Parts: sequence; C-alpha cells; structure tokens
Amino acid sequence: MTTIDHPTRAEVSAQRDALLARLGMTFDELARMAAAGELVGEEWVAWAEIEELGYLLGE
Amino acid sequence: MSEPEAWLEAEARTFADKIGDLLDRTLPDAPNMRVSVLGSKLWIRPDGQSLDETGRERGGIPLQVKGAPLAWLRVTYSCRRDVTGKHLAVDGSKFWIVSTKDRSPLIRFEYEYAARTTPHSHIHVHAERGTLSHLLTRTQRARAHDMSALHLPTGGSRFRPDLEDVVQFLITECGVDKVKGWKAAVDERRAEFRVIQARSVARAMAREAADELRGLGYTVHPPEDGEPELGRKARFAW
Repeated sequence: MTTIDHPTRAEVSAQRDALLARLGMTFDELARMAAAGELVGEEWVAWAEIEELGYLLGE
Repeated sequence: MSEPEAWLEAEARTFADKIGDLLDRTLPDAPNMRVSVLGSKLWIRPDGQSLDETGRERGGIPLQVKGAPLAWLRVTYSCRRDVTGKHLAVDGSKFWIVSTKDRSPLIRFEYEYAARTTPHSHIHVHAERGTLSHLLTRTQRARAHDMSALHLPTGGSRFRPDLEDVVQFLITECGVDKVKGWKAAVDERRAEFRVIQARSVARAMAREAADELRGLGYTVHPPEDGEPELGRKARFAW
C-alpha cells in the first residue's frame, strides 16, 4: 500500500538543509565533489537524495 | 483538492502501487512505496528509503543472501504530469545497487529524460580495470581512473531497461534471495512496460509502424492532414 504525503516547499528545503548539515558540507561543496567523482560512502546516497529533493522544488 | 491535483495523486498511487507490487513479489522484506507530491512534481521511492539522523541509509530494498543483507536496492522515480495532462511522465529513474560494506554504489542504472550530453538511459559500473584507465588516460578523458564516470548507453528512452530487468538481474545473475513466484511478477511488469514503450515508439515513428502493419496485412490509412514527421528524439537520441 503506497503512502502519499504533501510536503511544503519549506519542509523539502529544510530536509535538504538537514542532509547537508549531517554531512557537514555546503551544497556547492557536495556538488563539486560529485562532479569530481570524489564522493565516498553515505555521501553518494545523500547527494542522490539532495538532487531528488531539488527536483521536487523545481530546481 | 483540485481536479488536476486529484488526477495526479491517483496516477501516482497507481504507478507506485505497481512498483511496490513488483518489489513485494520478488525481493524479500521489500517495503511499501512512498510518494511525495509538491505542485506537479512527484518523488516515488520505497518508504523509509532515506538517511537517518546519523547519515546512514535506512530502508531501500534489502538484498539478502541466505537471509543476510549484503546490499540494498535504492529505487527512485521522479515524475510529473506530461504536457497533454493525460499521462504521467517519468523525468528520471535511479536503480542503484548499494553495498552495505562501504555504503557506496556498485552499479547504477539511471534514466534522465532531459539529458543533453550523456545517454538518456545509462549504467555506471563502480569497478576498476587498469587497461581501461590506461586507454582513457591516452584519450585525455577527465577522471580516466574512474570507471564509474562512464555512462554506458542502454537503448535511449524507449528501449531502456526498467526496474523488472534490474530485479531479474539481481536474482538470476547475482543470486540474491527471492520470493517464490518472482518470475511471474517480473513477466507481468515487463509485458506492461513494453506495451507502453511500443505504443510510444509507434506514435513517434507512425509511418514506419504503418508500413510494418501493412506488411502484416492490416489496412492502415494516413491521417487526412498528412503523415507526421518521424520523431527526432526517437531516431537520434542515445
């Protein structure tokens, strides 16, 4: 059974900020590491999730 | 809730239920699906597939060998209402096989509708091959040492692999634990996906489809206002 939720823009943004805070990085720092192929461990999944949240936000 | 919003939510639920059904009938302990809706955009993934407060992945679909979770399958779809407002369009999908050892991907099957320079549908393999790195160094490719930086093309938008192909790969090639009767679920989902894709190809290449049908004995008449151009993306996009 699928669950459907309707987060607000503010909630999605906050989710993204929380992910970055856990990694201790800014968006630009993580994006640079992704482009350079320097992601390791959990950073891979975090970056994917940040991109997916960005899609929801229309960015 | 407005009519378009209700339509989008209903379509999302139907789509996600089908994905959830496939996973539930093929891989042990697969969680249900979750859809987040913001405006006209949808984010579909297994419920609980997220990083926890310590930054560790929880959720995804566990990939087990004799009951021991050795990896997980990370699944996401990014969708929206298409321009006609009648269909759900998949803007992207990611099916990642992620190791529980180092918590990084082993293989990534990805689809990106809006890709410009890379293949719309592609695979990243996280592996090492010294002689490939040597070749790429000689061609002065960026990140020559990193095989996962390559986008291995897989047939463009219409002929791309879908989730059921990855599930079958995991079971038959990698030998992960499976649910009894898994093949029937894979067959059902694949047949449905390929009908959808075949119809899309027929729309994009109507003249070719008509010729083929005439060859089979069907009577097919072109539209009165002329035959549509063959779709550029269907013909040329990789």
